[in-house]
Amino acid sequence: MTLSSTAPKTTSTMNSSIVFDQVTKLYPGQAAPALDSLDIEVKSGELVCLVGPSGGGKTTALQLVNRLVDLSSGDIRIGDRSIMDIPAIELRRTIGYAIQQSGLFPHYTVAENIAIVPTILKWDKSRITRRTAELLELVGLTPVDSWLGRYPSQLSGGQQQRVGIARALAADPPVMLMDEPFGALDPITRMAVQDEFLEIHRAVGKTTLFVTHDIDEAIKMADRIAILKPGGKLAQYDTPAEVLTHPADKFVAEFLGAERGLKRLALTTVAEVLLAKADSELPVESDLPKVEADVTLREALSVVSAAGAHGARVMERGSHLGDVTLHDLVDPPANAVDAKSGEGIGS
Amino acid sequence: MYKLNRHTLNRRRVLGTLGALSVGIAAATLSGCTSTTASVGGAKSGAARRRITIGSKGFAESWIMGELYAQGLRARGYQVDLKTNVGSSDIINTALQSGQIDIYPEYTGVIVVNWVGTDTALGTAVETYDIAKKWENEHGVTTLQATPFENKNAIAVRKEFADEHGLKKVSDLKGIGDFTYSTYPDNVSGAIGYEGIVDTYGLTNMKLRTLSIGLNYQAIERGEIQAADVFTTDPQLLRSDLVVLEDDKKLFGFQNVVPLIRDDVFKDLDEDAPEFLNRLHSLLTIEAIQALNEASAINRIDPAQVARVFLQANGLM
Amino acid sequence: MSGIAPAGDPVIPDYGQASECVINNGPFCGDWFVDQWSTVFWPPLVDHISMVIIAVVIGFVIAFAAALIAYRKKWLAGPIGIVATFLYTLPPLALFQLLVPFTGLTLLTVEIALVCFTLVIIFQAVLAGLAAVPEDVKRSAIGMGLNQRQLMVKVELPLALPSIISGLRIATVLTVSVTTIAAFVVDSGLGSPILKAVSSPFNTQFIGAGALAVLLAFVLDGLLVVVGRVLTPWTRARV
Repeated sequence: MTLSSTAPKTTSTMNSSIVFDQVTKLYPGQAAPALDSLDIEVKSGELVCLVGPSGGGKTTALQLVNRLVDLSSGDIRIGDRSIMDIPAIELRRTIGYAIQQSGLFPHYTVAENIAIVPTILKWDKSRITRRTAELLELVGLTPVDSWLGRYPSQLSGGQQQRVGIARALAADPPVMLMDEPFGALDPITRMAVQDEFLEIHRAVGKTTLFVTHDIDEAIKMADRIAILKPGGKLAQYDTPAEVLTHPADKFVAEFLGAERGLKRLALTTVAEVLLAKADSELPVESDLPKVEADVTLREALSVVSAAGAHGARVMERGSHLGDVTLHDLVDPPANAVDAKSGEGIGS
Repeated sequence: MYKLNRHTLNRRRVLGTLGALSVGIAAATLSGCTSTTASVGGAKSGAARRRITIGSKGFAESWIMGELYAQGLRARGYQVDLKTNVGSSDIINTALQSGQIDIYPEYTGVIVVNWVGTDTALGTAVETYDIAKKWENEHGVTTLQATPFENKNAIAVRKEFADEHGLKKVSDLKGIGDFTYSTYPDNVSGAIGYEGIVDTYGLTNMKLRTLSIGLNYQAIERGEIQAADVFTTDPQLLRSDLVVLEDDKKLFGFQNVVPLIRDDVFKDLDEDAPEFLNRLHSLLTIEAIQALNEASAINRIDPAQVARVFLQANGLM
Repeated sequence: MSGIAPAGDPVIPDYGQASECVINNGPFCGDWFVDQWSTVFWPPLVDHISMVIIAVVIGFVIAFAAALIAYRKKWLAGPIGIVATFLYTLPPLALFQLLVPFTGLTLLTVEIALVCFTLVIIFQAVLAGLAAVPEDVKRSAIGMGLNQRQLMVKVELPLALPSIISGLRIATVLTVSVTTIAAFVVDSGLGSPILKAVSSPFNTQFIGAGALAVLLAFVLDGLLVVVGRVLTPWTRARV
């Protein structure tokens, strides 16, 4: 996907953080709360993943924000306003919402689907047309004209999800809620859409709350991860690197799984290692396998291991950037990892 | 009632349960209903005229009579509803008495036989009419003039056969030697059935063959039978070369059609209504009704259309 | 002014010559059908169509409103469904019989009965259509800030349309056929020539009227299919 120069940016400079303040949700007729005293802050422009096993209350937490579910106690603030001070319908129109299976209206064309919220907000027609074209370009459905008139049934799962994201972004909401949006996609499409969404997120900077049951997706996407455990209690809320390196408790460690160490390697690209390496001496081996600069250490390690080599040659658009050793991949320089974990928080 | 038996039989044969159902519906009418079907006609302005409901029984001649009444009265500015297939004589008479319908055409002999009592002597058509009128008047119903035509059972023979034996009346059949007469299976016993004819006229030489209704015309034309039970207004009589023998012993009674109008309705009618009905009735000769029945039964023209053409041809509309 | 009218001198109109087919009551006499079209068939056909349309439209309005109520107040769906099903299972003739004492031998009686037969079909079709609206579509609609009315008008009803249309098709075809029985109550509709022809009996008339009823059912059904296609273009969209 290419980001065109027309890619929309959040024009509003106002604070769009989401603050959960002692949020508890007890469903009627249930003995235990679905969400128990959740206390987290999603900073403006940050992408936070809510993860956890089913029964952890992650979807409940998300739906509390746009008031699809009502709070039992506590408060949620967007910016400095409590969501309870805004009529639910009005509130929802200022929040982008994307869900699994896309939730596209099957009887609306792509253009009509994207125009739903702008139409409700009574935007004029030419503005809606312009915005629709802009968004389709943003999500890579070009040429725009060939997509406008199609119905969801005429799109692949990945294309539907891209339209779903475009629709959520349509009225330029400061906040996005995404409920396992890529959950129904096949692994290859899923990777591609994740990459595209990350790029969009970096470009538009919406404060995003993202529910997933897939820890790998959370590690890849999130600036910070909130791990919920059964009973709706927060187990840990930290950056992916910190979560992987220092799991808060046994539950988190088990949830991250035996491959926790490998997952950590997925946070850093070989390019970052190359930059952070003080010593740039080249090993003499000439038959090193080649890897692209933007692959993760985990992927590079896999390539090196498969080749039975001791390092890899890092390439970018055909030119040789440098080499990394097996040691670099397994134990990357601390400053490479730190650089990654600090990114995107808006600092 | 014999004439009706024949119609009822015909319907029963063909309709099976449908006939029973229509009687059921007609019976339901009696439990109280009002008419709202709109049929606004005529150009006569001024005070709103009473809406009239005309009834007819379930066979073509009655439908035609009903249409004649209805269309003629509509042309005179009355609002008329027409209910066809109201039911048997008993049902339609009850409907008249209870106000479900206001006017219907009835046969004088049917009135006398069904409601006055069969033991009353029936010397002439006029006498029959007078007895029927008296009974109806006592029951709150006005009668107007009856039609010249009668619709009743009769015995018909081929013209050659009549000429050969010099036949004019039914009594003439006595002593001509054995011959075969046909009627429908239900009409063998009884005063006016085969046995009644044999008894009354002493026709011991008349053999019987029962045939389904409608088949006797074919049979007599082919010479399989020599005499047939027919219906005086039956259009088939026009098409076959048959002679109806005079019922000189008045066995079959008299069956002229008279309009029955409930008194309260009659009171509300202007003079043009009885005038029209009397004029119409005077025009309904045996030739006329046979032609109308033929148009309906043979040409299969809709009774409404048959009636309209007749009314227009005779300047009644 | 009494007695038997003196025989007048009537003009006896010429009603024309019946064809052999008509005289012999052939299975179907085309000449007669064409000749009598404008008097025997066309007016009952028009009456039939209007009786069917009135019944289906009124039935639709009532059943549609009932279905919306039942959809909002789920506990009402059961009782309404039972009443509608009961009305549907009554034999049409029995229903006529029940109604005649109250509403008479009138068009009102016919329409009440016809409407009763359409109710359950349309009610169930609307309800089934609404129930089949995908949950994720409704959730995303609400999440985007559609209010209840917008959800119904923009999402639930359009997506229920295919089911509603098929309900209407069944109700219409059924009503075309039940309306022929209306001839027992009013002298109207295609049942009227059928009833008269059966008692005559005359084949051309009841075969002609019966065929028209069948044809009418096909035509109205076809029209609804076309309307359905026009209203639901997404159901035919292919990759």
